[in-house]
Amino acid sequence: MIEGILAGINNMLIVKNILFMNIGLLAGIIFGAIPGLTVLLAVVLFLPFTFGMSDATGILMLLGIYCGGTYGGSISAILINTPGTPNSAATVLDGYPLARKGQARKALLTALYASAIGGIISAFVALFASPQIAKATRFFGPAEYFSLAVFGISIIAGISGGKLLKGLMTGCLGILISMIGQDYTTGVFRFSFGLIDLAGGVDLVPTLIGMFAISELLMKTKNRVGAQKESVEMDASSKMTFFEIGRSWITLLRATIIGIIIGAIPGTGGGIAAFLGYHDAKKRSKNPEEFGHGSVEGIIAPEAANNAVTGGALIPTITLGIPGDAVTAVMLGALMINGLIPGSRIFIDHRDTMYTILVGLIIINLFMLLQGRFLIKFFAMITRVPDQLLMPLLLVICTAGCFSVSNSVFNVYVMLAFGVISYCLMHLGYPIVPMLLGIILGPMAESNLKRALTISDGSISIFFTRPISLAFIILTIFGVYTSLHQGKRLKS
Amino acid sequence: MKIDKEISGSLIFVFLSLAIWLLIPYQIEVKTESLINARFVPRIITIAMFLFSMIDLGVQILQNVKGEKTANTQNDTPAKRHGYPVLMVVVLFLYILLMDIIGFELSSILASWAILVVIGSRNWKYYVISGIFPVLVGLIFRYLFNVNLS
Repeated sequence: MIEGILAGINNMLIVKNILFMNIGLLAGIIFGAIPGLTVLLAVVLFLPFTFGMSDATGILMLLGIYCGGTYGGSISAILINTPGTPNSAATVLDGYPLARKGQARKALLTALYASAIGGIISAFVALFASPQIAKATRFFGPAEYFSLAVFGISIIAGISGGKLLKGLMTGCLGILISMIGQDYTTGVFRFSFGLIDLAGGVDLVPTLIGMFAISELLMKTKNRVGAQKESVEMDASSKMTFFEIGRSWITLLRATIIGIIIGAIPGTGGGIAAFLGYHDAKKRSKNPEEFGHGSVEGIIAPEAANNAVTGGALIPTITLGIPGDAVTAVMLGALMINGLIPGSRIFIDHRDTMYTILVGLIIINLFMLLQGRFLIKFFAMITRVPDQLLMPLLLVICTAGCFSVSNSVFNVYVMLAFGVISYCLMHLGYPIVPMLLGIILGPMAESNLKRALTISDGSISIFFTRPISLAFIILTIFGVYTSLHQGKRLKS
Repeated sequence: MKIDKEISGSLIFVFLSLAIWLLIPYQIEVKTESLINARFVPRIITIAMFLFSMIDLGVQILQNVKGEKTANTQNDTPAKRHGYPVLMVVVLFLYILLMDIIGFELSSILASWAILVVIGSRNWKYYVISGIFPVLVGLIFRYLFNVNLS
C-alpha cells in the first residue's frame, strides 16, 4: 500500500493532471453555483472530453467537477437563497440569513473551509479503506456479483422519492436498453432493428446527455424560465479564519463522519447527508436558537457533510461497482470505459492509476480551497447568469459533446431520443436515476447471471446457498421492505 | 375528465412490456436449444417490468376507487404548456437535420435563436452571445480537440 501511495503521489505531480484537475474544479464550481445546472450535468457534459486523456487524468477531472460542484452549490444558496445543487439545500437555512446580515463573505468562506476539510478527511478514508474492501471482493463469484447488481438497482429504486415500483420499472427499462446491440456471450444482435449504428449498442455519453441535459432543457421550456432572483451583494470586510472554524471542530468532524457513511450507502447522496449533518449539529449545539438565523455551525455542518460524501461514495463505486449516487454512477461508467473494472483486481492490475486517483482526490480538495479563496468574487458573479441565456449555450455544448464521441450524427439523434424519453418519464413521475443504474449495471448483471446458472446447471439455488450472495439478497429484501414502509408513512 | 398521470404511466409500461415481449422473437435470433440463450435475460426483465407495472396499475386503480388520490396525481399542467416542449423537440429535430446540410456552426446559431424565441426571450444581447458561441465552440473543437464538427 505504501508503494502504491508513493506511486500515486509521483503520478499526481504531472502538470497535465494538475491542470485538468483545476479545470474540472473550476467547471464544477461554476456549474454548482448556477441554479438549474447540476454537478451531474457537468460530469455528463465533460465526460466526452476525457476520452482523449489518460485514464487517471480523465477521472481526476471528473472528480474535480464532482468536488467543485458540490461546494459550488453553497454560493447561490448563500447569495440568492436558492441552492445551486440539491446538496446545498440545507446551507440556505443559515447561509442566506448570515449574508442578509451583511456577512456574505464570511458565510462563503465558512462554506469553503468546511467543504474542503470535510472533503480532505473523506478522501483519506477512501484512500485507506478502498484497497481493503477491494481485497474482500476476491471471495465474490458470478452469483455474488449478480446479487450485488440487483441489490444496487433495488436500493436506488427504493430511495427514488419513495416510489419503489416506479423505480423498479425504470430500472428494468434501463437494463433492457443496455441489451441493445450485440450480446457478447452469444454474438447475437438484439433490438438493433437492422441498424448498423445500433450494432454496438447505444453509446453511454449521448444517452447520459439526453437523460439529464436535454430532459432538463425540455422541463425548463415547459416551466417557462423567468426572471433571476435577487442576489445579496458580497461585502469586502467580514472574515472567517481557520481558527474560527477550528472552534467548531467537533461539529465539523461529526458532520464529516455522517457524510462519509451516507456517501458509502448506495442511492443516497449529498442532500441527505447535508440535512442529517445540519439536524445533528442543531440538536447538539449549545446555541440551537441561533440555527436558522445565520449560525456559523449551521453552515459548517451541511457543507462538511455534503463534501464528505464525495470520498464516501467513491468507496463502493471503485471496490464493488455499486455507485454511491448518480454522479458516481456516471463515474463508474467512465471507469469501465477506461478498462478500470471494479473488484478485487482493481488495486492489483491498475494499482498506480487507482492510487493516483485516490491521492488526487485529496489534492483536489486542497486546490478547491485555493480556487475558492482567490476566485470568490468571480464565483459570486456567476450566480447572476440568466437561465434564458444558458439554455441555448448548453444545447450547443451538448450537441458538440455527443457528436465528438464518434463523429456521428446518429449519436445526436440518440441524445434527443433519450431526452424525450426522460422528459416523459419525469412528467409522469418516474425517477430516471434507476434507469441510469440499469443501463450501467445491466451488462454486469446479465453476464454474471448467465455464468452463475451455467456453473449451477441452471439451478437458482446457487444464489441462496452461497453466503455472500444470500446476504445481498437479504439486504435487497430488507431494503425493499423499508422502502415500502417509508412510502406508506409518507402517504399517511 | 382529467387524466390520472399515475394510471396512464402504469398503462404505458404495461403496453411497453407487451410490445417488447412480442418483439423478442423477431429481434433476437436464437442459435442454441439451451434455455440460457440470448433471449433469456430480456424475457426475465420484460416479465419483471410487466409484473411491476401491473401491480402499480392495480394499486393506482384501488386508490382511485377508495378516493385516496392526492391533487398532484392529476394531470394539472395546462395543455398549452405541453406545447412548448413539443415545439422544442421539433426545433431540436430540425437542428440535427440541418447540421448535416449546413454544418454545425450555422445550424447551432439558428437553433439557439429558435430556442430563445420559444422561451420568449427579448433581450438582444442573448441573441448576439448565442450567435457567437457556436462559432467559438466549433473553433475550440477543431483546433484544440482535433474534432471537426461540420
